[in-house]
Amino acid sequence: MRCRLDLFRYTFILLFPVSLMIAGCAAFTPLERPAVSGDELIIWMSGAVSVQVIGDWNEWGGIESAGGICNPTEGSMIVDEAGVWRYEITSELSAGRYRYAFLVNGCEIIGDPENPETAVYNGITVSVLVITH
Amino acid sequence: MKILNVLILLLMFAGLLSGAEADTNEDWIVDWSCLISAEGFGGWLVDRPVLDSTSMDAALTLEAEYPGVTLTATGAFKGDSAGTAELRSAYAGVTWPGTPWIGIEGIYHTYTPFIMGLHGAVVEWDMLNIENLSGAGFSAGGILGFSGRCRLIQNDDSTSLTDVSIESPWLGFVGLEYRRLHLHWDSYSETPEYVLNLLVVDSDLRYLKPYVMIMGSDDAGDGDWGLLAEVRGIEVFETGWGDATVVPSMEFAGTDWTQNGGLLAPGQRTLRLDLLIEPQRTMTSFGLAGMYDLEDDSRTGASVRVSMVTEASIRYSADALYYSRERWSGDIGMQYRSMDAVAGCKLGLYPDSTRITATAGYTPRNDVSGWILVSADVADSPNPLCELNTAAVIGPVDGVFGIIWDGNLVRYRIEVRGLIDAL
Repeated sequence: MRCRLDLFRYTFILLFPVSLMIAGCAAFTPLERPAVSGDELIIWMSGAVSVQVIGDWNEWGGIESAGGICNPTEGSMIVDEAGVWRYEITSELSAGRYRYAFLVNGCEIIGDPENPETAVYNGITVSVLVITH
Repeated sequence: MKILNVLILLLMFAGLLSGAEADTNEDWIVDWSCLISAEGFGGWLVDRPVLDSTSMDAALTLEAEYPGVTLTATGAFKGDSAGTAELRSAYAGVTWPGTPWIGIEGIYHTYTPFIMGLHGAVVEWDMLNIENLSGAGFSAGGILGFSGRCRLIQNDDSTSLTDVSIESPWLGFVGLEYRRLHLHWDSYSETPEYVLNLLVVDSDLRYLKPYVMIMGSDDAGDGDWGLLAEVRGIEVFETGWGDATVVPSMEFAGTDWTQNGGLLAPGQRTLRLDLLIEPQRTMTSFGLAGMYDLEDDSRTGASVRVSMVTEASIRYSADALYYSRERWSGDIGMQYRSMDAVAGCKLGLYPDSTRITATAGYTPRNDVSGWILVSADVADSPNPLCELNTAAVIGPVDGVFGIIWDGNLVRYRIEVRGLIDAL
């Protein structure tokens, strides 16, 4: 009986820090970037029910259009099983500079976390996309 | 004019009702869509919710295309107390058969000039504050690939806008664009004119990609000018995150520069150097920027921005900006996300407060999500804020219901948007 307890104790002592290290490694190991074609914008946003790309080229989803109403289908992104939302973009854009952001769940505008270049739209920090020739 | 607007709007609705789907009649392609938005904001009165304000807007767009001919019109209905309906924009354009770069067009209230700069807009949406525009324009081109456009626009109170642009094709290593905006207000005596001349030179010299934007009024020699320039394409080293590139840029303005809404300050002489690591192999990014102004120390500063998504489904992010003791900010946050749960926290540091925010969310279905946000100042007065939101998406319709508790004040909101279009 004592032998079993010791075995359990030593196993626990050995495995606990190892499991912590594994969890810790996973918590600080960057996720591999999914394969992306050059024409795609992506954002990892698991748990969101909708993510749209809104920007200068699509009149901010309709907010800046004559109607002034954001179109819930404009710039809709498609999600994969890993929670990565994708949108093919450059096919509709000519060379130039554009501001853009993601509209999450139809109500929250956030800049692209994976894009270090920022700009401002209506007081909100958004991102800059540069399309070259 | 208003009666005419309503009549046109009625005609548009009649057109909508006459055909329930996109119609292709011989070579004509007719399409329509209708956006509907309803919002309600309210508070809590003793023991029951009270709706303070509601609005219901609709925007109907009709489009018709025939080879060489484009017609579009957008009408809007504002469900306010006046219940206004109006034609917001209309466009008719005809191009010469076989030469799409030669054409004429008629415009009504559809034209809002917008010009993007390096990081912000040179001319922002609605910055020129002009309403009820109508006008005409023509476009031409084809000679060596150059194209040009001229629009002459007039509004009800004698405000006129002339917008001329000439654009070159990509000439192998350089592209050019010239644009001139001339806005004249009859009703304002102090600043009756806004003139902006703009030249953009975008080039690709294989290893370097210089981009230059020169702006100025007709009296640019008096100090009413601006200059934006940057060089892209300089890769300095490779990291495990991705290639590191530096982007030197400059933002200069004359002492009398008054043209835009804050993109450049009069007398600005700012040199900027960005170090960017954009994600290539991992979900990480890093940006470091240093700004040095030759004239004004208040525009000298630095910023840093870092983001990383890990294998354990945690996003770490940090931002910091420093200009002076009174003008700085920083925030650091982490967020765990799975397909059905979200939890995170963020610490925001500002000169006059230190704010901590916690969020938690649950997504029981892939079209319904709810989340709660609690935020408080950890310094003198907590000023707590609590938000509970629920969002749902059903096809082309989405809606948000939220309750906001801010101290002893409870507010709530309901927003629904939907798109009805040709099948």
